[in-house]
Amino acid sequence: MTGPHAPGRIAWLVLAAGLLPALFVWHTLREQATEHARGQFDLQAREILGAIEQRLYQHEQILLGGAGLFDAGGEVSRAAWHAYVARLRLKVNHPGIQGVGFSTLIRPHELEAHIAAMRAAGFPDYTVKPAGRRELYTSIVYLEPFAGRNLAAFGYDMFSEATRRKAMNRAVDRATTAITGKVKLLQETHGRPQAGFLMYVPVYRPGLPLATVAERWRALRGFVYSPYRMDDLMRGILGERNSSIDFVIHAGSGIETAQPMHDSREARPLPAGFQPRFTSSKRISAYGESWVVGLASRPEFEAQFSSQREWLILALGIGISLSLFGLTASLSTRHARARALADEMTAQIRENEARLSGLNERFELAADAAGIGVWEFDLETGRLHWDAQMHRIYQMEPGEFTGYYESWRARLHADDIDAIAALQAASKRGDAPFDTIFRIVWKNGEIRHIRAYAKVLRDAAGHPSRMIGVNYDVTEQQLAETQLRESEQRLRYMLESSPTAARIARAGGHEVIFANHRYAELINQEAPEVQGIDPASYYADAEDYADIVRRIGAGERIFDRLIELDIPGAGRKWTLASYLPIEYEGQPAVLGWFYDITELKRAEQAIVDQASHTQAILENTVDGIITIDARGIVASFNKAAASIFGYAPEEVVGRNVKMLMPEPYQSEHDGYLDRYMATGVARIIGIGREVAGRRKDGETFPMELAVSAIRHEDRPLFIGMVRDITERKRVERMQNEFVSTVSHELRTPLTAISGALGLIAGGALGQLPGQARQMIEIAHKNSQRLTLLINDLLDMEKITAGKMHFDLRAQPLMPLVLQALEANQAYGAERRIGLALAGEPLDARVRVDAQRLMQVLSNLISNAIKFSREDGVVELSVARLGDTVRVTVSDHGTGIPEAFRSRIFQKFAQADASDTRQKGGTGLGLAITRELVQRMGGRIGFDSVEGEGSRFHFDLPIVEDDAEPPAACDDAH
Amino acid sequence: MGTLQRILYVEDEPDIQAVARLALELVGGFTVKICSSGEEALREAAAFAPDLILLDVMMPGMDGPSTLKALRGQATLAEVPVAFMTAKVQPPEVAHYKALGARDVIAKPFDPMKLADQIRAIWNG
Repeated sequence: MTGPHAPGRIAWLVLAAGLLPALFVWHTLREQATEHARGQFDLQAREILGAIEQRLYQHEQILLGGAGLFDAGGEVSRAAWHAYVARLRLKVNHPGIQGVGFSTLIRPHELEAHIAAMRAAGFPDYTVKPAGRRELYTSIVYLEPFAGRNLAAFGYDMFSEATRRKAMNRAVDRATTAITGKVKLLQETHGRPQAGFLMYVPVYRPGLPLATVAERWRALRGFVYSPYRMDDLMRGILGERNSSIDFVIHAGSGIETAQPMHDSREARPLPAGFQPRFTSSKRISAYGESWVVGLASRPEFEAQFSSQREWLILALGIGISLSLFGLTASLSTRHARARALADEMTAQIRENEARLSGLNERFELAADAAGIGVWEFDLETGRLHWDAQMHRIYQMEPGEFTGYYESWRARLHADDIDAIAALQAASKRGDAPFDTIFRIVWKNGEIRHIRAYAKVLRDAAGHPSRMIGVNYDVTEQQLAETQLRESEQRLRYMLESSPTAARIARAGGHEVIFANHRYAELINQEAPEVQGIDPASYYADAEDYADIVRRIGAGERIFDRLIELDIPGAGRKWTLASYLPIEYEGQPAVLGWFYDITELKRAEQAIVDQASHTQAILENTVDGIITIDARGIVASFNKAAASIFGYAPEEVVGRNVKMLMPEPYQSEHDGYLDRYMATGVARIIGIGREVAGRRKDGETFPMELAVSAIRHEDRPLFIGMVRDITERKRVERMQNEFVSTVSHELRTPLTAISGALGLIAGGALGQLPGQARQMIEIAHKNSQRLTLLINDLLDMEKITAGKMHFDLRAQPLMPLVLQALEANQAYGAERRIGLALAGEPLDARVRVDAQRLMQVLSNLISNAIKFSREDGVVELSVARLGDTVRVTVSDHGTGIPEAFRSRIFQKFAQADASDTRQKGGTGLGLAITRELVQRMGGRIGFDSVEGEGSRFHFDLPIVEDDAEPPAACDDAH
Repeated sequence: MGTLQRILYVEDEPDIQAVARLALELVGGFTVKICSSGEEALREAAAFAPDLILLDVMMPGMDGPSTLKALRGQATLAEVPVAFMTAKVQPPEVAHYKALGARDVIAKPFDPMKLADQIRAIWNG
């Protein structure tokens, strides 16, 4: 101790003891950070160099492809060249490439012919530039895209310029692809000039030997080449990637002298006075040229790796050490007076040391706050000293930890023991820094990840004597990183297996970094080629894409947006796209989903087309078409329906179809529908019939209605086809009235004629001579037939007009049958035909109009007589048939010809036109008979064997009791 | 009831008049007076004093039913049996004519040889 006021040696010791670990920890952390940053810098530098080399390689492939075109096709037309280069989509796929061209080789004697041919081909101003005599010429004849800057190069003889010639010579001499040194391109016509270079691939005439240099020159046909503007190329290669590393490219090795080919700092100037912390220089050897690339970190790079933690620890350490020092110093001053008192001083020192250890704990507390454990390992003794934090990190009580290396090793994860031992050995040799992450196992079995960093301290002889190091627990970080990696892996698996097209693009949206095979399909690409493409080029509407990128950039999420894509080779596609901003591999990115609805769109269009086609048919058809639902609500009402009913469609659609019906149908219609829905029993559906309709003006009119039931979207729907038959009905009525009138008018003269003839034929006026009597009888007979015909016509007219009266009464059938038999006996006898009742009489009651039934029976019997052979028999039989009774009239006559059977009940239908005269009869008999039977609730039918006879029958329902009142039926509805 | 002898026939059609006259006079042996319209019948029927009147239904001017009604208005003719002759012989029509007071209806065209018998049957019925 130097004086009463100077701090004592102990204070200095204390200061040193406090500061040294603090400085050590600070230094350790700092070195660690620097190394990490250096690693990152090297990685990014390698990426940049790799990208440049990769791109040059790709460009060589393009040129080789072009050369292949010449090798394969012999002559390559300007159009073919254009097509080839257009397919490459340079702007999208290879930004920075200025063009792809072909320079043809011209020998002096060919020059004139070449120029003439080019001029004739549509380039009147063409010439080979520069002018002058040379031993060999080349000329750029194709250069695509053939526009803008590239036009300046058309016709240029690159062989005339030394730098280019050197590369062209090299390409042929060494049979390789060659690039030039730095040149100024002819394309530098405007704007800021950039350094440039060119790449050449020689093209040879096919079929010639190429083994030696001389052979190759003989076969040389020209060069496929590309010019590059260096800055554009670099922008293309690195894209929008915001590299935090600057790089400068020099051609050859003359870094100091020549202007650089490219300097990325031009685009992004540095702050004044900035000195990069990390620099390196790399050489790229490519295609006969070598480039030196100088790389330097940018401020934003360094900012990523500056950490607050190491400074915090330093400040805390210094602060604590200084306060400790101050305290110790004051203590030693206070006790300086008792210097002589050694015991006291010793005691004092002890006390101070005790206090010191307390203060050391405070320092440890500070380190604890950072979660860092400090250890020291004596390599000679094997003793390992831990601070309190180390115990906490390893979850070992001070008692548990023995203070020896083995005690620590016991905690190590079995799989990591060997690696740690190897690393320790390497560190001791000075081969590697001790900087690692390993696993330990806690007492409770939990595995933790520990970051460890240590320094090996050496004695004067350079032998390692101690290791001092720090540990801290990085389990949570490791876990987070692992989880992130796993979640990204899961995301990729999920996308890959998704049936929907998906891709991840870098934020900003112009580079795909991951895509599933559905996405590759969607854009008509092979899966491996999708990586790196710019999705913007597939959007039919560029504005669309710009909007999406803008909104995603603003953090928005977009769902189910209809996107129209224009896919080369596949045409238009429609997708429903969703976009989500995500983080991918630590970078902001955009996840896009694309649900291909092209087929749906097309189907939808087809449906729309079909619907409009159908609608056009519906609208233009002459029949009214009305559709209704199960409740009778009108769903559609076409133009023809509108003109029939006088309503506009909008007046009817949505309302009940009843409005189109007169009473009583209007009130009953709901019932019909309900019954149909419940039972399937149709009144009109599927049948079609004449019903009454009601127009807007209230007029009722006859219409023909056909209804079909269909199911539409699983609900019943009824389609009604309506035809206004007012006019047809009017004509029918007129016809019938005409027949009726004519018949009535005919009757008056007929009454006179037939009366007069009857008197003469009856002998009332005396006997006539033989032939005259015969003639009068013929006239009389025919006047009677005429009367019958007119009566039948009137009957028919009455029946069809619904004017025939039926006096329906329940009565026994048998008496009527017998009466008919009796009444026709005379007629039968006249024809020598016997009439007989076959079988037993039957006791059955039927509800009929007796007079009409007599008419029916008489018609059938007289028909049977008429068609019987002379001396034949006509038989009547009556039989019960279930709850009906069948009356059969059989003859053994000529039978009914097969061809006639279907028409037998039609008006004026007779098997043979001559029958009318031969057999008599009006041709209306059976038609009337059928009508009469039907009006009385019966059915009529027949069977016949031609040549053997016919059997006509009619069936009537049997009435069980006669309590029912007689019912008259006028058919008047 | 006496014998049927005098028949008044009202018919507008001259040909039918001629046929009916023969059928009734020649075949039936009746005394027949024919009037060509309802109006003529009203003027002359009472003077003829018929045993039975036959009325055509469809006639210009007064038709059969109105003629019947008017004839019934004359005291001497109020009880004389009347039969209509018409083509319209459906049961409801027949019922209608009978309700007007006709004893029966004879269908046109009639059989001239049987007409007299038909009339006698009506007279007797």
